Amino acid sequence: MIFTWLIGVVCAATPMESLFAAEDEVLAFPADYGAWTTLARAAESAGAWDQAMGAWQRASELSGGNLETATALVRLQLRDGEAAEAREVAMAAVVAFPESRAAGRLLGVAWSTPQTAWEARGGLAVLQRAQDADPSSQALHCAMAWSAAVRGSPSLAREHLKNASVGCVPAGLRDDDVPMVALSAGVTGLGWSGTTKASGGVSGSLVATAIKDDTAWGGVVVRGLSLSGDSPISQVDVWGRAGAQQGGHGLEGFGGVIATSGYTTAKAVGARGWTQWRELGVSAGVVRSSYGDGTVLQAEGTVSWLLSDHLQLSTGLRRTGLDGFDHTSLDLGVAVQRGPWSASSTLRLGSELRPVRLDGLVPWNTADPLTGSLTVTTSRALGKQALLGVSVDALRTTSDSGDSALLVAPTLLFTLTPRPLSGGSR
Amino acid sequence: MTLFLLFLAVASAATDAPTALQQSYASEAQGDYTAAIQVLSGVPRSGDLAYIVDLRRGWLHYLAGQNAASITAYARAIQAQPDSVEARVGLTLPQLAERQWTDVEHTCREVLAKAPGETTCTARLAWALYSQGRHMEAEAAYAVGIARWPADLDLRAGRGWARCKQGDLPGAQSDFALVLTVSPSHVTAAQGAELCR
Repeated sequence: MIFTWLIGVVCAATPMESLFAAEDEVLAFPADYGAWTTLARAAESAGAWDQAMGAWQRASELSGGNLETATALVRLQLRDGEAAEAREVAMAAVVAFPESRAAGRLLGVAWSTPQTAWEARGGLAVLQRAQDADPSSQALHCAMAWSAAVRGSPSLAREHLKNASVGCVPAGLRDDDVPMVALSAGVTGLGWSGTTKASGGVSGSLVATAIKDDTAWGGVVVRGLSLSGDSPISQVDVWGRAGAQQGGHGLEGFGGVIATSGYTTAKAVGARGWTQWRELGVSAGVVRSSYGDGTVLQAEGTVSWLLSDHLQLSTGLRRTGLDGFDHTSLDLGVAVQRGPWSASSTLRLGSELRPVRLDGLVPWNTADPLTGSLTVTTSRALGKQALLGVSVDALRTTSDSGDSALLVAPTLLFTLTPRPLSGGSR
Repeated sequence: MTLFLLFLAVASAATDAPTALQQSYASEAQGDYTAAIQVLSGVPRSGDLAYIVDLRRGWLHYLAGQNAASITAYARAIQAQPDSVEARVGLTLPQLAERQWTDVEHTCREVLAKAPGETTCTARLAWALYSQGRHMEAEAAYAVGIARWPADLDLRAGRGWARCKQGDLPGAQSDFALVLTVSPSHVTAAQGAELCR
C-alpha cells in the first residue's frame, strides 16, 4: 500500500482528473517528494508542460537532486529545445553520481543534440569518462558522434555512429569527403607608448583553412600591420601551413615570409607536434626565422591540463634568441568555457625575441625583445558555426639601453568554424 | 482535613486505573477509539503510569486518524522516558501518516542509535529516505535490512524500487524477480517488474 503513489495517479481517471487530484495532494503535503513527482507525471500526461517542469524542479529541490528528477528535467528541456540547459543538468547528475551508468546514459542523451564546437570541447572529457565506464552505451556513442562531428572530426563521428542506435543518427554524414573550410578574420588596434614617443596603428588578418576529413588540413595565414608615428612601419606576413593528426597525436609544419618596410624580407620555417592523453596535453615546437640581422631561433614546450569540464590550465617554456637562445620566457595560461562563452588569459614572464605565434593577429617581431606580456580573450559562439571574440594584448618591450615601451592591442575576431553535421536539427 | 481528602482522592484514582485501562482496551477492541481515549483521562498522571497512558494515547489517536494529537502524546511519552525506543517507534506511525519524511528519518535514526538493528525502524528509515527522493541512500538502508533479514520481501521490493529510480534496471529486476518467485502476488514487486524495464 505504501508504494501506491509510486505508480502515479489512478489509471481510470482522465488526465485532467488525475492532474486535479495530484494538485490537491500537493496542497495537502507540500513537502512530499512523491506528491510532486505524481503531479509532474500527471501534468505531463495532461500536456501541461510548464506545470510539469515546475513540479519536477520542486521535486528535485526536495530530494537534493536525484537521477529521477534529472532524467525528467533533461527530457522536458530537450522537448522544449533547451539543449544547453539539458546538458548542464546531465553534467550535474554525472558529477553527483559518478558511479552511475544511468547518469552516463543521461549525459549521452543530453549531448546527442546540436552543439557548437566550443561546447563540444567543454564536454568532451566528461563524455569520454562516461563512455569509458559504459562502453556499450548507444546514447554515449551518439553523443560522442555529435561531439566529434562539430569538432571537425567526421571520421571519428562516423566511427561512433556505427555503434550508436539508428534513432540517434542525425541524418548521416553527407558530403563528408568534401574538405571543410574554416575562415577567420580580425582587426586589431595598436597603441604604443614609450619613453620618447607614442604611436598607433592597425593590424588585420585573414586565416583560411581547408580540412580534409579530420586527419589532414592545409591553409594560409595573411596578416598586415600599419603603425603610424615617428617611425611608421608597414608589414605583411604570409604563411602556409599543413598538418595531420591521428588519435590525438598531431604534427604541423609551416613556413612564411615577413615583409617589413625598410627591412630585408624575413623567411621562417617551423614545426610543432602535440599529443593528448585524457586531460593532459603536451606540445612542442621549433621555428627558425632568417632576418637581415641574423637568425632567430625559437624552441618551446607546453603542458596543458583540463582541470574540470570548464577549466583548463597550461604552462609552457619558450627559448628564443638571435643566433642562439638568449631569452627565456614562461607562459602561464588559464581557459574557462561555459556554454557558448569562453575566456582565456595568458601571462608571459621573462623575455622573448620575435616569437612566431600564428594564432594571433599581430606578429610581435619587434626589434627589441618582449619583456613580459598579457593576453586576455573572451569569445562567444554565435549559432553553430560562428564565433565572435574580443581580446586585449598588453606587451612590454625593453631596448638594450633599458628604455621600455608598452604596447596595447585590442582585437576583434570573427571566425567561421567547420560546418556541423548536415541535417543537424532534431 | 485537606490532607485527608487529598489522600482519599489519590487512593480512589489509583484504584480506578486498572478499570479505566481495561475499559480503554475494550473500547479499542470495539473500534470506539474516542471512548478509549476519553476513559484514560481518569487515570492519574504520575510516574511510569503517566508514560504508559501517553503511549497508549499516542496509539489511540493514531488509530482515530488524529495524527497531530498522536504526535503530541508520543512526544510526551518520550519526554517522560527519554530513552524509550517503543515510544519513538510509535511516533513514526503518525509521522508516516502525515508524510513527515524528515521527521520519520530523524526519529528512526534516534531509535537505531539506541537500539541498533531495530527491525521496524530499519525498514522505516529506508522508506523515509526513499520517500524524500534520496534513492541512493535508501538503497543502502534497504541493503542493511536485507543483510539482517534476507527473506524479508518488503525490504527487497523496496530496494528494487530504489534501484529502479536510479536507473539500475537489472538490479531492480533481480530484486523483483526474487520477491515474485517467493510471493507471486506481491503487488509492489509486480508493479516494479512491469514498470522498471
